[in-house]
Amino acid sequence: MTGGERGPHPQWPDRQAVEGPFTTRQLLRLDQALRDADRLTGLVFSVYVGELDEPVRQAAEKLHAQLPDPAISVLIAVSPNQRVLEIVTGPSARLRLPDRDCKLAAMSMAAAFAGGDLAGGLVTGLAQLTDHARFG
Amino acid sequence: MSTTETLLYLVGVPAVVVAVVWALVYRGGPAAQKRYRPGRPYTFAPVWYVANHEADQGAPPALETERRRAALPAPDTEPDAMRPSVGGASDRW
Repeated sequence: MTGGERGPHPQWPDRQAVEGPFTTRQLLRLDQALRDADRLTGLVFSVYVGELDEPVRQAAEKLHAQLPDPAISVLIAVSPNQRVLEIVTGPSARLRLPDRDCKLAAMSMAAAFAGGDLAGGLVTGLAQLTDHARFG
Repeated sequence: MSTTETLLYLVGVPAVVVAVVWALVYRGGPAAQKRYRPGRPYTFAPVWYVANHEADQGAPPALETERRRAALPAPDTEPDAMRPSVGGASDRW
């Protein structure tokens, strides 16, 4: 379920994931949200939580380019230390998820993160992006 | 009851109660240690999650999904200048 330099590979359970910032219950919710998002939209969603090199936007786009199919991929990159969040949509995904919809999801995620709720923010953000991609 | 015993009851017992409550509040459980608090350092290794589709194999086939996947625009063969670039949004908190 986690990915590294070579791109994400679906694995579960994963030792690194278990030792990550989320409890098991939060991981299960996040996994379900990711699977629902992929299944309902046909896009490929992924979530990165960790440091992003400056400039942050370019670092997030570089991560997005490492995904197996960047054109239809949507990356949510969150850096809790820098308190910054980036959503990157591939060219095809962008047709379904306009930047304005991404911004709305980003704002609600940032509100949850500001309250210290990383997992909750990610799950609601994914749900919002899914709804926007499905129903426009 | 001697003065020493009185002091022990009046000071020692409240001190123990305070210590127990303090320990319960600040020690926290495993969930509390994992909790992210804005402004405090975040020390976990970077993680990258993608959907675990193997878990979906037991689920009924998602006809809807297949139809939507096929409805995605075909790869465009326009020149690079015309190609839409990556999009998205940013925010801070």
